[in-house]
Amino acid sequence: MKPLCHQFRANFEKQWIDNPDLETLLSKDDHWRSCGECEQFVQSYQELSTRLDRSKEAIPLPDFAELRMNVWSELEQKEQRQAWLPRLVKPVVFAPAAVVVIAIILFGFFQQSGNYTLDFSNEYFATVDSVATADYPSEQELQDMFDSEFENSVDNYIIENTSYTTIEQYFSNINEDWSQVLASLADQQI
Amino acid sequence: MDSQALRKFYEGDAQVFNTLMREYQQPIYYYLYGMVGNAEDAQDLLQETFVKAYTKRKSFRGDAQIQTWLYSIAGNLAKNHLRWRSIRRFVNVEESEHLFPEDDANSTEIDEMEQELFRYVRQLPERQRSVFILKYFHGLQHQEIAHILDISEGSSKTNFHYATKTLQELIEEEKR
Repeated sequence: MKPLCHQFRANFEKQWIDNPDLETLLSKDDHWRSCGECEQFVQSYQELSTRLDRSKEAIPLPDFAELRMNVWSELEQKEQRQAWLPRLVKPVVFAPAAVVVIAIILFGFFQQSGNYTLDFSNEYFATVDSVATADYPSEQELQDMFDSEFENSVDNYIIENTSYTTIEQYFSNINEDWSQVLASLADQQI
Repeated sequence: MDSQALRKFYEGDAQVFNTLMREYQQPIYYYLYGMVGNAEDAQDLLQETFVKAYTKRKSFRGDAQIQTWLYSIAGNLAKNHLRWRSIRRFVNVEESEHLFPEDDANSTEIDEMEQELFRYVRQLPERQRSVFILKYFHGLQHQEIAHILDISEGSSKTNFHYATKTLQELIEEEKR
């Protein structure tokens, strides 16, 4: 291929890509008119353009006015659907959500109330027992019970923490007989 | 579309939208027709394109031309339609023959010249076809095509070049 032909074709193709307007392209460079091979090259573009343009003309056009009306009517229907949508969606979405929330609250409540029931039942039955089985002690009785308990505690403390000798001394001040008993017990190493 | 018209479009002004539809109905219809090769489907897709453009008008950011935005909506709808169609064909050949009568060689609805366009253009791969239609029939810049099809400008040019070569070869083959 001659350099001139090569340059013509390269330019032509480049320009075709940017602007496939054949008339403009062919008017820019008329090398093809004097070169048989390049004329053939141009003809392949001419044929393509002719066929495509003819094909475009043959495309059946719709009724655009009707199409625009259809667009508006579809938009109107869509708007109506959207107006109804929240009414439908709200119950559909919120009802299960509400059920779930209520279920969680109830579950938590019963779980907690189960624990309370255990504690409460213990306290309850203890109270019932005390109410049912005993007369309330008088203040004096309570004082006596306290004194007795205190004395026992003191006695137990002394018994646990002191030697027989100390006990002996302690009891010897209270009751001589007991002192003797304890002294004999200490002798026997009981 | 000037800024005032654009603001009205955002607000859903019916008059502005009607003007917009009038301006772009034919070129977008041609694009869709070239893509799907069927007048009925192209019409449905055009209607769907405008419905979508109106409902999604607030998503138009204004950084591209409105025609670019409309073409990209139409292109996506056409792409989905073709995908759906190829699946249907794959699943059920008989059904597809019934659904797409334009494939029938004896169809009386489509004349010979129409068939000619589809004998050539429809044989192109989807992307080449899109680029070729947008460039050749709509005279869009490669930059716009790239934006519509979400490809690079270079890719748009390459696709157009290969589409041209393929179409020329197909015509040559037919002559032999």
